Amino acid sequence: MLARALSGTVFGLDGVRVEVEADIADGLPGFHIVGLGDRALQEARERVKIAINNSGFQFPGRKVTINLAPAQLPKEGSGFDLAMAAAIVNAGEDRDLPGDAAWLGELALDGSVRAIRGTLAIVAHLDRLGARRFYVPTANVAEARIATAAPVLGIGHLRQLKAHWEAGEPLDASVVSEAALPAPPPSVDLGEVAGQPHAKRALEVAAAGAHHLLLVGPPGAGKTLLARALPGILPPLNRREAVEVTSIASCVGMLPAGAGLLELPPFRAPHHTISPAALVGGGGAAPRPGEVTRAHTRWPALAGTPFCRPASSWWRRPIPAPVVLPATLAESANARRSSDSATGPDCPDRSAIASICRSWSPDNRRASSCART
Amino acid sequence: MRANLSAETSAAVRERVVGARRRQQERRPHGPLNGALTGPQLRRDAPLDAAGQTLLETAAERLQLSGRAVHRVLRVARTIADLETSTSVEQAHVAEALQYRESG
Repeated sequence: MLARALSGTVFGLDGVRVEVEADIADGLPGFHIVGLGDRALQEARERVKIAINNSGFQFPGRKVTINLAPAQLPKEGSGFDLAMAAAIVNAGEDRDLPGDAAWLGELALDGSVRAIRGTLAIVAHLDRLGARRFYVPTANVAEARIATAAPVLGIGHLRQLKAHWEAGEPLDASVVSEAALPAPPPSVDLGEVAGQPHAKRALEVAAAGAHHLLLVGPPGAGKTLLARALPGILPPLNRREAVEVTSIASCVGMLPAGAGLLELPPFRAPHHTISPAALVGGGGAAPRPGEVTRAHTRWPALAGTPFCRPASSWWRRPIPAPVVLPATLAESANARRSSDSATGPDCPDRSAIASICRSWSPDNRRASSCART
Repeated sequence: MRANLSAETSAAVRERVVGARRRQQERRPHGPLNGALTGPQLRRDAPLDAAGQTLLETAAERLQLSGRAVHRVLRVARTIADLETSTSVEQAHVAEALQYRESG
């Protein structure tokens, strides 16, 4: 007996369609998952089995095999739990699941459905491929609705599905728990920054034209303070930018549960000892976005970025080019765009605008500049 | 330091930034902002007046600017012109853009 359920995952920042096939055959009772799943996916065996039994369904006492297609794509995470449960339950009853319905969600042992990462990117991709109904965790409904006009049904517990299938009870399409959006970054008002008129003007020009900006100066000159004033002078994101920012936040797990569209440009302040891979992204089987990507919009901001080697040699590429493609990961995370950096003086790179923060002195006559000449 | 605290607030600066962005979007409704304009786009969007042209050429020669560097200066100059609601890029805009270069 066989049943299929449509699902998906993220690879880098892009949604990928994954078909979950469940087969129940005679043989020794067991539960196998094939299709290059990682550890979290192998552990889904326990989650799915127990969740099914705790929700009023019966896990089949026969040989259950799950295949995740395409089989050669490395898959990770727990987002296939719901699709697996739906496929297994329906395979047991020899019932077909509609081919244009997508299933996303992680299961808890009691059968409740937990939020997953990357819902927006997956739903957007499956929507383009023709999916016409989405079953997602209740906490991801708001996010999924951004990406599709098709019905998005929030599932809080497997029992709701049982009632839906067996008694025809409608799934609630309206449950959205609006979570509080993340507070805007503590923005410094330019009016509170003493002096540095030249750097303030550079900030304004860079913000107006989305130019790269590099602040150079000795410790304490005010580079970071000025960088922190950036969010306060930026215009709000337009719809397309907001969707991109929300999708990235969702993929890296920074979107609060229940949140919808993020409307503020991200501001990242990585530690100055950050590794190259953490800065521009990288990874093994599946690429992971770095800080550059997390700061993505047309005009992101990173403060305190290292411009010393080796991070700077990785940094060299994202500044002039719109897309970063580490050589080993052709399909890598689209670590896009440039950034603004506040940085120490030993900077080997060039930006369109390099504003020199002068050391402050009471009358500015002793102001010293540390620009390399 | 206290004397300097009467500086312009972020809200006032933001208003000018929003205005400059609006002018860029009017010029290219779906295109890039000034920071990402390509060479051909710059030729169309950033017409230099005679004095500006002379200054840019002189600077390019004196400072030995590469082609990429000239475009970078021109992009910044275009933005400065947008902030001052000027359709063409004038000498003063080029001059200000040049001084934002990290060296020279």
